Amino acid sequence: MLKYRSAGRGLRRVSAALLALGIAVLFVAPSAADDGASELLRDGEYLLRAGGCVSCHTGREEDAPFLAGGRAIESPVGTFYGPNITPDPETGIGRWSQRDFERALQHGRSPAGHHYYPAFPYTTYARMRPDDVAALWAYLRTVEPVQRENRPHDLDWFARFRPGLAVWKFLHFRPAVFEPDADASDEWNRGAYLSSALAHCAECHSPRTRTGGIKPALRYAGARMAGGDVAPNITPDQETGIGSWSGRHLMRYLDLGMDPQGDFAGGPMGDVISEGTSFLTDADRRALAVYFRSLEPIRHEVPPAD
Amino acid sequence: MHRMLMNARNILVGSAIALALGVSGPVYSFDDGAEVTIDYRQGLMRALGGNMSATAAIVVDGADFRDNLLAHTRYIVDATQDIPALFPEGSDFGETDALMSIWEDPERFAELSRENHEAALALHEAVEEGDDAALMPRFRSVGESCRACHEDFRRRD
Repeated sequence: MLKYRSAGRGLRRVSAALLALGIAVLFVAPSAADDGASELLRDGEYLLRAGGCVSCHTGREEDAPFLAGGRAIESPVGTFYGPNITPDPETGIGRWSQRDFERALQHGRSPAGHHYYPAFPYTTYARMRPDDVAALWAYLRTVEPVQRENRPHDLDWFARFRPGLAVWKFLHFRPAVFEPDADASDEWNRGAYLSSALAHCAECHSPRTRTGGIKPALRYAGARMAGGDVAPNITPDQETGIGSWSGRHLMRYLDLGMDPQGDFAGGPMGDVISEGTSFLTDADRRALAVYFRSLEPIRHEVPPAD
Repeated sequence: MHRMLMNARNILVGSAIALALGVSGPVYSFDDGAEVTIDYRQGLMRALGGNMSATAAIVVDGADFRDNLLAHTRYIVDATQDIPALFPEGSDFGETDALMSIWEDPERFAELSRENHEAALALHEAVEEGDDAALMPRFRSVGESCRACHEDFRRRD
């Protein structure tokens, strides 16, 4: 539905421009002019789903305005509330430039120069290709602007000191570029890109150090999340991971949320599926499955809750 | 005649022993109704999962058991008839992933359960009518309704 809405908006805009120029041929010219633009918007909308943006930037209530923020995200240092990313000039990102957006998405800096908390996974988005960033930006400009104030984060005292984030970044954040593995298949590289530049699977599925960085040796090996839920080990270890899952099982899980036992995901992964991976193409879900099944199996049981 | 008497004596002796031990029900009963309820509903949910995964193998991946589909979807319909009845007050402790929200927001729980049952009915009807084109979308909506409920009412551990 959104796809049609955004395409419709694009069309209206182009039509209006042509009318202003006094061109009467509305049905031929716009379709030619619109092709490239609407493809860009389609890509951008797809990237929004692949990047899992919706699950933080749209409230959980049934009638929550799209991308206008408000969803609570539990963390070890308190509760974050996803901000409004609609193009509303007052409460959203309507006054941002594309450069501001790139800096936020890939460097974790606000237009005013503040550091963002890594609850916003710019650590992952840093690897997005520039054309993907541009498409996502183009799409976000077309979203319905919603005036809705951001809810302030509710954090522990020691985490409220934003300049401290510079230290966190120094320890755990490096601007990065996605480097395809020339020895691996295109499918594998696509899966690796989707996971490490967009879907940010490792952010929940990896245990962290005391200072909040992902433990590199246990990347994807499962962790307990702040809300108490477990983000399981998604390396192909037979006992503690997804070693018994076939590629078909993984694809089906990312699409329907059904595990090999016929059980259905709830909790945060339910959101990730409903608002993200279920929108991907089968080819992309297959690429993710190929990538995860290729990982080094790590034997790691998520410790019980305290 | 003699055997009947012997049996009667055995029953009497057995009953006396049982009374003396203070056991009134089956030997394995530990008088914990809630745990039995939890066992039952977990068994039912696993059976639902089994039927859902069997259905998926046929509907999504084309396993060659189309003739069995009706039995699977009938079970899904029957088992989802009254899910809230599986969660009586007081069955919220011990080995359960049920969240307190079930008892705190029973209306929403009942509503999502009803939607789940209705989605199951729609799938079952498509199977009955041989409407194969509707199977995949209807299976998907059953899955979505399972997820919607697990989202708010089940702990993920």
